[in-house]
Amino acid sequence: MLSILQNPPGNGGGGGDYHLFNEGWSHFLDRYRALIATTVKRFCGENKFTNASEYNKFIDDITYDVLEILIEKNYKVIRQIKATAEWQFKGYLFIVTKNESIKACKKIPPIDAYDDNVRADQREVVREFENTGYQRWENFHNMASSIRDKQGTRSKNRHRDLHIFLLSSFGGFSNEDISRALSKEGVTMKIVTNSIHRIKGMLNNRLPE
Amino acid sequence: MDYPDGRLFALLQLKLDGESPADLSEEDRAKIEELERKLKSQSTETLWKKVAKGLPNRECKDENEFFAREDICLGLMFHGFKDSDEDRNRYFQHMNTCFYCFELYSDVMRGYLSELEKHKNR
Repeated sequence: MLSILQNPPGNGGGGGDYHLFNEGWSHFLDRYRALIATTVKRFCGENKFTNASEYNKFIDDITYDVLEILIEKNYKVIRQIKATAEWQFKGYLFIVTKNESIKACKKIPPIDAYDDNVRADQREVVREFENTGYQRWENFHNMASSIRDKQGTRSKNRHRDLHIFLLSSFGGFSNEDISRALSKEGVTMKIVTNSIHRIKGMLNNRLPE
Repeated sequence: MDYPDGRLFALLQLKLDGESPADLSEEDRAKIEELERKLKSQSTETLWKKVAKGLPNRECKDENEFFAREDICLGLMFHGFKDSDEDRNRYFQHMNTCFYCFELYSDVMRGYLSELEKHKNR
């Protein structure tokens, strides 16, 4: 596919075939859109935005920025990629997306102003951590460990239940998707629903009256 | 190292179910065949040994350590753990402890499920 994209038709390109080239792009988008979106999410968390639709728009904008970088000057960047294996190309795409995400993320004003007592350089460090996906890493661990504490060690299926709950709440998967994904492990829709229900029940018990 | 690609896993699943889409590119066909060969070359027992040996007790150092290994990811998705409760529990425990593997797994599953969905709607 990369070799087709590296040979654009007309205008100083390699004189490639229009049909093949368009098909190549459509495959490219099918294949890498999810990778771009996931990378953006990793480097610019949703907590920077006041609502989900604003965040989705941001992800779309970055995706177009990345595509623009790849195709500008008659596909110069794509033509210069020397990747011989797909993972090398994915690595390249990851780096371009990461850089664009961090750049764009820095321009977003914080929702809540930082404490005035925190020095400017410290604020910069905090922002940097937020930008690099540290926040998401921390949220994952906080969520998992607080549920683990509540679960105790008695339940035989506690690891499975927690995994299902994390897929649902942190990964954003539907119950149906989770049961399909874990069907090889004997996980049915009923198990998914019950596991989530059990953990939600535990968490609700922790909330103050 | 080849990174696991959920979309290709879904296409392999469709092929194994005898529902392979007719409009696959040559490149995809070649990759699916390669995955099929890899899958057939590892028995469930071999996979368990690999997982047991490769599964870190704590969070991976980076995202390339465990789940990023295509052979492990492929085996886990297509064989599962069947009757081995102990291995299954260790796997779930790792997934709940390791952010990198969890994110990568979510990524692979998203690609896998969306390709199956696309096929269903064809």
